[in-house]
Amino acid sequence: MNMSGIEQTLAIKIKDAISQDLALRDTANEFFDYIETRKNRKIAIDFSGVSSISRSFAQQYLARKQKSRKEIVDVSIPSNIRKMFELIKNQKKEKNFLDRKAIKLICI
Amino acid sequence: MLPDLFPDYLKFTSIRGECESKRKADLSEQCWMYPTTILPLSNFLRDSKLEFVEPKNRSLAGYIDHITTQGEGFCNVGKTYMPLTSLPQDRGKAKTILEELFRLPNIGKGCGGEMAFKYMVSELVDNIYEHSHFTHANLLAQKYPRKNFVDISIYDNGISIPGSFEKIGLKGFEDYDALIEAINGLSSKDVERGFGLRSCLNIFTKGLKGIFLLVSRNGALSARNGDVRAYKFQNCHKLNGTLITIRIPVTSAKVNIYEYVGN
Repeated sequence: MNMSGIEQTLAIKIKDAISQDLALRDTANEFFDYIETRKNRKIAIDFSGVSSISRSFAQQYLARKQKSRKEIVDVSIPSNIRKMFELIKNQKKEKNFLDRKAIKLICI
Repeated sequence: MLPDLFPDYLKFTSIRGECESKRKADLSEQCWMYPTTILPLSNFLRDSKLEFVEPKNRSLAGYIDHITTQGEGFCNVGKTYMPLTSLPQDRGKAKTILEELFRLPNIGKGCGGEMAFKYMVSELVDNIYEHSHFTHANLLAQKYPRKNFVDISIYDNGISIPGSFEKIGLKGFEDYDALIEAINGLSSKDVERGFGLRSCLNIFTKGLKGIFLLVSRNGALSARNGDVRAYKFQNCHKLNGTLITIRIPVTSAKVNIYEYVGN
């Protein structure tokens, strides 16, 4: 991590800060808790080398990024990670994913 | 056609019933079990403190020993596709366990690819930490080359899915109903959440033509390519906690998870 004055951009490689596999929602929270304690106003989060991301991590990452007072820029995002972010931004939850009428009930 | 998973769960409740009636857990004649039976049975044996006669099968005995006597980490007995993994209660340590798990060679090979496997494990483990308030949780995956399928199971002894809804005042559901609601996206946290279970069900039943079994407290749900069954249990089949198993045909194909996680 390159730490310097408030106006300088702090670059964080998320693979090194967390892992190449971004799995747990709470890890996204811890990551942003750390970011919020930094003096720098601008943060560049480098996703290079990230192999996988869960939906839970991605959803929490985007939610915390939106709430953050920092100016956060994501860079070098692999295509699979970008796809997950796009899916979440455009998510539409089907209310009746399982059709109750089609479910067989068995009492045992 | 893949054999159903639900009989493997009933095998657990049958053995448990026999152990309770005899006040003794004699597993000496048990040769092998699927993860759907092993995980809840081992946790029952740990908690019941019944006199225990271990199975002759060394792998099975090793799994039971790991769950009943040890805290967390991996157990490398037998030929497992993924070692029996016990999750720490401290979620800070879970990150390390998952990292080690995901570094294993050939992870995801034969069951939809690395991305699908990591996605499923990440989402289901995250659900446990977010909702279940467990004291014990285990994961186990086994490949059966002759039968041509892989079983991936995850169990926690927490408050269950119906219990997590009740905890925030969502009452009035039958337990099986609560499972349908959970798959349909009801979350005990907020409206932006509730995608984890359904996305896993979607990837593995539609993307990989597998079977999905979810058991929690007095209810269960099984799904196989459009055929969805809900089970309402009498107390003899009750599970303390939540068990999820996915059974998928061994396949070299990699599933594009993004086709299945969007809705």
